[in-house]
Amino acid sequence: MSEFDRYRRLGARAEASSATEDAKRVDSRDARAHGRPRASMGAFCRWARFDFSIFGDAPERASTADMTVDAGEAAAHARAVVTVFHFIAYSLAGFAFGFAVFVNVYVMIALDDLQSDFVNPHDATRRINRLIAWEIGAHACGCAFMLVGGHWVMVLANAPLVYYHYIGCARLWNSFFIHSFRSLSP
Amino acid sequence: MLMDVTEIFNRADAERQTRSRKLAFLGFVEVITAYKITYAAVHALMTTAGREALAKVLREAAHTPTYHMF
Repeated sequence: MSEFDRYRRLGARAEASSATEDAKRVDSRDARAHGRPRASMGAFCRWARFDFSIFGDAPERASTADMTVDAGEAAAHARAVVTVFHFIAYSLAGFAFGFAVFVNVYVMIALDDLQSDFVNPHDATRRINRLIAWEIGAHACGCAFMLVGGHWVMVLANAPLVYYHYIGCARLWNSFFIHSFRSLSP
Repeated sequence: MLMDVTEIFNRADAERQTRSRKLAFLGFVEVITAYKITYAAVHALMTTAGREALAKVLREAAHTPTYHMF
C-alpha cells in the first residue's frame, strides 16, 4: 500500500466519524456533499446562516447524511444564494468603478476648460484636487468588492493601477492623515 | 494625481494622456463588470429556486393595477 493510499484511508475514516457525529445533529447545514468541506464564500454563507429571502427558506434536511446521498435541492438553493451574493458584490463594484470613470472624465473636462481659458488655474486645480481622493477610494472599493465576489483575476488586473495610485499620492495620504480632508484644496 | 497650481499648465498634457489611458482601462473593467453582473443575475434565475422566485415576482407584477394600465 502506497503512502498516498494510507493517508487517503485515514482521511476517509476521519470523514466517516465526523459524518456520524453530524448525523446526530438535527439541522446541520455543513456542506459535506462532495467529500471534505471547501473554503468558499458559499460555505461561509451557509455557516453564517446568511440567507436572501427572495429564494425562501433553505430546504430542510434531517441530517447531512441526506446530502451525501442526494445533494440536488439543497445544493441548487445554495448556488442560487451564492449567485445573488455575487450579483450584489459585482453591482457595488460596478458603481465604484463607474464613479472612478466619472472622475476621470470630469478631470479631463476640467483640463480642457483650463486650456481653453474658461477657468483660471486656481479653480481648475481646486476642481481636480477635491476629487482625487474619492477616485482612488472608489477604485480601491471596487477592487475590494470584486475580491469579495471572488473575481480575483480582476483584482490582479487592477493591482498595477492601485500601486500607481499608491505611489503617486504620498502627499495626498500624508495630508489626509495629518490634516483634515478639506485641507487638500488649495 | 494631485495638481499644483503653478505647474498645472506644464502638467496638463501629460495628465490628459495619463487620464486617457486610465479611462480606456477603466472602461474595459466596466465592461467586464457588467458582464459579470449579467452572468450572476442570469445564473441566479436559472436555478430551480430562482425560477420559482422569478415566477412569484412576475405573478405579483401581473396582478398590480399598473400592469393593466397600458
